[in-house]
Amino acid sequence: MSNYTRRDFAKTGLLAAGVLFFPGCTIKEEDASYYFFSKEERRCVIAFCEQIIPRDEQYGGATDAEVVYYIDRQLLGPLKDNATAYRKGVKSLQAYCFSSYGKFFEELNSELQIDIMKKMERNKIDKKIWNKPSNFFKLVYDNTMQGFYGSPIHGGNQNHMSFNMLKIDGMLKVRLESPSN
Amino acid sequence: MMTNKKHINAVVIGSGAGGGVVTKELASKGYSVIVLERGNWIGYGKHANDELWDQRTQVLGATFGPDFKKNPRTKVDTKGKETLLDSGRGYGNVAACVGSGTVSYGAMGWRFMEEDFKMKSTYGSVEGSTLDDWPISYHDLEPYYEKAEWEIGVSGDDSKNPFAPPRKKPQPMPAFENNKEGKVLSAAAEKMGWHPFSIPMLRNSIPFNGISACMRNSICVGNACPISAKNGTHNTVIPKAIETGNCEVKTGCFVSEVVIDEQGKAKAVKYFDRYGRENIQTADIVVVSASATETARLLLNSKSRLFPNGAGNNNDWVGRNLQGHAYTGAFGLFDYDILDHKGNGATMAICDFNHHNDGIIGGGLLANEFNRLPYQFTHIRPPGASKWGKEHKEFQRVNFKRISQFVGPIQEMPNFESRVTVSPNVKDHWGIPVVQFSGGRHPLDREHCKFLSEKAEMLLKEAGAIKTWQHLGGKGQGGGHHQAGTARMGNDKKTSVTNKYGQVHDIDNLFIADGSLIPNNGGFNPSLTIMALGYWVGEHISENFKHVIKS
Repeated sequence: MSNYTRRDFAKTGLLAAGVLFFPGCTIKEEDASYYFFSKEERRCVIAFCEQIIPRDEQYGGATDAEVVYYIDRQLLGPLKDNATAYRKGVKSLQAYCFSSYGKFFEELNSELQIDIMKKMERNKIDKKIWNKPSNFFKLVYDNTMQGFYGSPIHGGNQNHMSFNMLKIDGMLKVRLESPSN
Repeated sequence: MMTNKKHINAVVIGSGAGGGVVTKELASKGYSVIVLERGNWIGYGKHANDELWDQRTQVLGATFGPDFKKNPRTKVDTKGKETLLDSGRGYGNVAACVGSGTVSYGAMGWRFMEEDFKMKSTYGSVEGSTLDDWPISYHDLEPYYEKAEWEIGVSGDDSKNPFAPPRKKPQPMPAFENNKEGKVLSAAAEKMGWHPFSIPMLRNSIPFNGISACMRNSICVGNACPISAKNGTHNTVIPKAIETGNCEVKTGCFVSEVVIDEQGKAKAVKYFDRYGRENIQTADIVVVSASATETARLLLNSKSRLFPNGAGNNNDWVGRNLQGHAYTGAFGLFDYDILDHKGNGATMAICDFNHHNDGIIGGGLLANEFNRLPYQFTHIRPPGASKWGKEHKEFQRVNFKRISQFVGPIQEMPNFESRVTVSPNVKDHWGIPVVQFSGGRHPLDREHCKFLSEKAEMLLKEAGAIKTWQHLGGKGQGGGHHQAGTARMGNDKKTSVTNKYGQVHDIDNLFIADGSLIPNNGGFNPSLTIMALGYWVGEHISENFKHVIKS
């Protein structure tokens, strides 16, 4: 595993600013130190992950926890077998959204995004247009959960967001928050 | 190929629960021993407190090995289609490091029950199953269980478990205390007339054998212990073996073949060292303890004139009867925080349903589950609950400490067609044919799982859960962390691979010492039983091969 942390990137000035995003709203983002995703792909995946774990009144969501940064890093490392699936999946999703609604996924309103994701999850999209979209759904879904609830050392769960949300305490807190990788 | 100049008495392949023990037994009796371990020594520092990089979830890899890409496996479905297994999913992993699974296990230290050794006598023949009696009884193995408990270290108190098999000596350390969940479930079990007790653990409740007491780490299973208070072979018997001066542990060494000579003796092993060089090590005795999948693979890849289908495989029993444990049980949602996450989570168990149940063969223990960390918890939801989105997040937030799982390993019915062979198509990093899985569990396993899950759900209801639901194991392939059965010990050469001492039929100096020997895997985590078998096999070797020591 690399010893490079998000903080190191910030120090070297590669990270210009964080990403703030609300589902269905206009994207406001600065270029960050992503290695795998293009700017366009990133917008799509950020919107997707945010629907898996949305921000609410009390706690941040996938975007705030930098889940996509986690995915980006892992796709060049331990999860590199999934790299092609991500490239193809994003392309298929955008093609489907654009041909159906004339917009990209991240530009659609929240309800429509959720509706499309449910269709993907249940393979309710015409086979000829997108065969087995559930595979891509499951992949992003699972990686989102990992990035949000897993250890911060892999790039997600910034500021122990999920650990705080779950009110983890005692020995479990001590140990989870001091990863020694 | 290089031949190591130094001839030795015994080469042991694999350093887990079986191999580690045999090594100590032989080295302490004066035999020169080389252990060839494909993994490395694992320290705590680089491998801890990380749910994505642990031996349980294996999301970003298996912390304790193996490297799936270098050591892929395959599985074949009923139509003959072969699928590559080169990630954690479906791989059937047992850790590849010094100590193997005993470094990162949950460390339950169970003795099998008397009935587990005589399943056929107790229940009769089972259609479609190779269920049989062991060639040894519980009483044969009892002194070796005791040795494992005292030399490796178990905390427990059998006096609270009326179903515990008879023992001569108590466990060396007192039982662990219950956590909050364990107390609630124990009270409920008692109300139902069941018999809850503290789970025996290969973990120090008090300082023992020079190692400190457990610090009640909440992240235990799937990880190494930060203070080494969890007892495996890597921190007990293997260091003892090294201390004798008779033992060398060579890490990063993958054994590809046991060389069988024209007289039907194991003459040497071929292995690739950590630099990828091929070596030959000659020895008087060869002990294979590489886990039920890799032991079978090694035997099958060891072809010779007398054993053209692999060492010990003239009757086609090597790799057969692969078992593991179908885990089955129930979840209960409570309206208060039932989990305190103190210690590793699993504290109480019942053995009321291991045997003599109406309508089923065998059974299994039930226990509260090891702590589930936040990512693992994302998959635990009652039927119909949202799997993602706002509701899922809300459920996660509210209920992370409110779901109790009562669960256990069901005694699998050995199935001749559930097997390990070697792939004709796929080779590993060193060019050696890899493990190929085929077949599946016996259909009865699913029925047995239903039985045990119902009992688990009953308990959670009694304990006050506001919602309960079962999860059923028993489909698919056996294997995994509790893999067993692929080189069965038996009295009949035609229906087993070794005799009752783990000695491969017709190859007098080739022994097996791991879960492969186990004819049926009991309704218990098998590590203490594998350790006991290590002592049993090790003692037999050390008493019968004394003539080689001076030569």
